[in-house]
Amino acid sequence: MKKLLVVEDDVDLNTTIVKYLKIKSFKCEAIYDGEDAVNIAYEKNFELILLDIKLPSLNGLEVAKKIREFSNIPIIFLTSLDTHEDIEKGFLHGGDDYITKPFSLNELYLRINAILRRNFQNETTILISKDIVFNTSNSTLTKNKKDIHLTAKEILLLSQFLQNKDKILTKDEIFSHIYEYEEDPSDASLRVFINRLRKIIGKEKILTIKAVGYKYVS
Amino acid sequence: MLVERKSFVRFLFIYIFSSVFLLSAGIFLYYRMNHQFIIYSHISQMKKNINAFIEVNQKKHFLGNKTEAKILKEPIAIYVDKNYKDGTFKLENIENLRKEYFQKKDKLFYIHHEHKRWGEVFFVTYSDIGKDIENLQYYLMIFTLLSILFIVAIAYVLGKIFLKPMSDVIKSLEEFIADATHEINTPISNILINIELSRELYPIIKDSDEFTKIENSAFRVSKIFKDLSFLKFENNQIKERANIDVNKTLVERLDFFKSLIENKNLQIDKNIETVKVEIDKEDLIRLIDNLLSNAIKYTKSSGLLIITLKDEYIEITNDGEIKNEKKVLKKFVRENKNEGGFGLGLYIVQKICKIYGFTFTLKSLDSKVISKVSF
Repeated sequence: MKKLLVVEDDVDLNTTIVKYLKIKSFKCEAIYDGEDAVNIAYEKNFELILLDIKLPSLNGLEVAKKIREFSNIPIIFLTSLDTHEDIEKGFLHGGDDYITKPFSLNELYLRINAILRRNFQNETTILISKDIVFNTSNSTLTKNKKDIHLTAKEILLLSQFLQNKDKILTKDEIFSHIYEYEEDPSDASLRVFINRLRKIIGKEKILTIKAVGYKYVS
Repeated sequence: MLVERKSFVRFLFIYIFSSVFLLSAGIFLYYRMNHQFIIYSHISQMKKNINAFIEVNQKKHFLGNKTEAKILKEPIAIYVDKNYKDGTFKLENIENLRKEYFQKKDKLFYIHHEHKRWGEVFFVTYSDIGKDIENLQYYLMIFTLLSILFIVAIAYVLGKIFLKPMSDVIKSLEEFIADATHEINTPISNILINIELSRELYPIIKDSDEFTKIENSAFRVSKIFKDLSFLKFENNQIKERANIDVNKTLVERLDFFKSLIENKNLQIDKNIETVKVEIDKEDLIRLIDNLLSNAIKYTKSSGLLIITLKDEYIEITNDGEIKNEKKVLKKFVRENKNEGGFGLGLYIVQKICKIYGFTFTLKSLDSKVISKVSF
């Protein structure tokens, strides 16, 4: 399940969006305040942030700017400010998309998917080997069209590999992607995840780069 | 801020016009007075000169005895019974001897006459008043210029002071519209997405009439506020001009208004051809929506709407009457105050037409209202 952060100070609007996105198989965290949004974006790993602009304590544009100091996470602005300048500001402050209110939930869903797909070079499915397919929109892995169960951490790890095909990922990069702020990353558990993934998608797909990290071979 | 500028210009015009009018009346009177004063002071000087001349020539009779008069430095002419006797100049017109004084160009002539037993003697002299009058005019000119500058400066300051409360109100009204537009969007989003979510969650209400009505009303509120923000930000919005199918958009919008049309049981007579126009789609929708909603609103139940889309124009004819066509094109003016709305529709149509160089006409003929936009 992909994890999204929904930052919107109107509680009703926020809960409705969260409820809808949960139906669409996203995991969501609702935040109502600008400063809290920066903190939680720092502490936890999300796939995407929906960000209102008029927020208490810190305005959405500032929130985006601060998040950009430590993360490249996709940000979609969700706001009623709809002038030329507002939209321009949104993109200049690090937004990836800009949706103006009133909007439809379906449109929101389509845009979220479109942005998330970009992480995987716009592909909806990735063929890992002959019979193993990864679906980028719902992060599921299938072997001969049958679902393969993966833990949340394994999904995160596999997604990270698929987003960085043929690139070396250092252990630190992997740790910060799959572990949250309050969790203790350990080499031992990472080795367990890697081994399990190797079992499923093939040993040759994930190379160990000694003393550095791992590399996914496409 | 256009209203404020208009009022400011009007105020300046009235204030400056009336002040300058009063000023010129004052200057005119002052000029007349001073002109007269210059004449009298010259006359009194000339009187003295003539008296001096008479005194010097006391024993000469200016008659037949051929003795010449002793001329002083001032000009003099002596006439006896209208016959020139002696002097330094002659009058061009003897008739002027009847006057006490007269002016010719820059010269002021003064005539002194005495009845002697040997006839009527006229002593004429003149003095140059041109320079004094010129000085007077010069000073008045400078005074007028300074006064006008002063009046304009005062008018400007007063105008700013008087119009400050008005400009504050306009500013806060515009801010209110901007804020209200933004604030209203969140609850409207809430209504709309909850309807959308409910339809997804509870199939039983998927096609519910009641939900459709709530949805339409929310869209209407949203439209009103979008119109308001269109006015507020009209110079500020990005226009994405493209070649748009007007016929497709028109059919889509008619579908959008379907429930309103059905509710009023209106009969629609369509004659739609394929037309493409270079326009921003949002603006086209705004244009069509305003024309349609206006026509629907002002047509009585079971009335007829004729919609024609041809190569060069879109025309909507509906039953009804407009008393003052010019007036309804203004902002916040409605033909019938008992009807709902803000009275922005036709004003917006006009604005959009202006942006794209279209012409918009509104006619009221034989209980029919014809609104037409020519591309």
